[in-house]
Amino acid sequence: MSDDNFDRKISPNDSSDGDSPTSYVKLISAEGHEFYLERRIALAGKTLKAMLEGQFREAEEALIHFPEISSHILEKVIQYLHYKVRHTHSTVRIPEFQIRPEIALELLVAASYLDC
Amino acid sequence: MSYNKNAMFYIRCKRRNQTFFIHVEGSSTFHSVKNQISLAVGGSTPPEDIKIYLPQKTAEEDLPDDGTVSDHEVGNDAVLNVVFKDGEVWEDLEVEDIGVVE
Repeated sequence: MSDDNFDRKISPNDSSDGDSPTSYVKLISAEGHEFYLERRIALAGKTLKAMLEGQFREAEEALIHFPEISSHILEKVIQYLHYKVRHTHSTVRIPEFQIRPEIALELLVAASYLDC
Repeated sequence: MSYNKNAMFYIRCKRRNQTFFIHVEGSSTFHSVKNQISLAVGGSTPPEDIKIYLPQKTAEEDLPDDGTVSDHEVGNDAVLNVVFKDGEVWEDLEVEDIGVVE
């Protein structure tokens, strides 16, 4: 495994017990914008979960590139993952996740790819 | 630290071409937010080399370490701006505009 100083490697300290420090993953959009989010939120997306837990370089480095997904779409997806985690198992009516129609199609494509 | 899952929400901290999604509660201090940002970048930038700003604020108006999220009325999905210290100098506040998401 190459030790590239430029890559931000998150140490594999991601056991889910409450005492260990929060583990972050990095997702990079087509334009190179870097999104940092908690690993447990990323795992709410099926494709992300597979990438982060499989035998892939992405899993070791906790870093995934999405050359096909624009920054504004990737940000919306990440907002959705937070919304999903927050409201899963809710027993009451949940607030609507707002999506502007102009981005709906691109968002659908990304969501389909990411299976979330 | 025990926490009420329902009381937690996230904020988006933006710096240059980076966006950090950080979970907080109303009582979270900005020092704890800086700790999380530092953790997210793997510790390469310690919390003392990070400043956080409300939108529209710059330079000396950074949020205090002991200030809390609720004190400054920062709510769910709020955007805060961040700068790092580069060596001895604080970088200019600069956030990439990735297009309207709201």
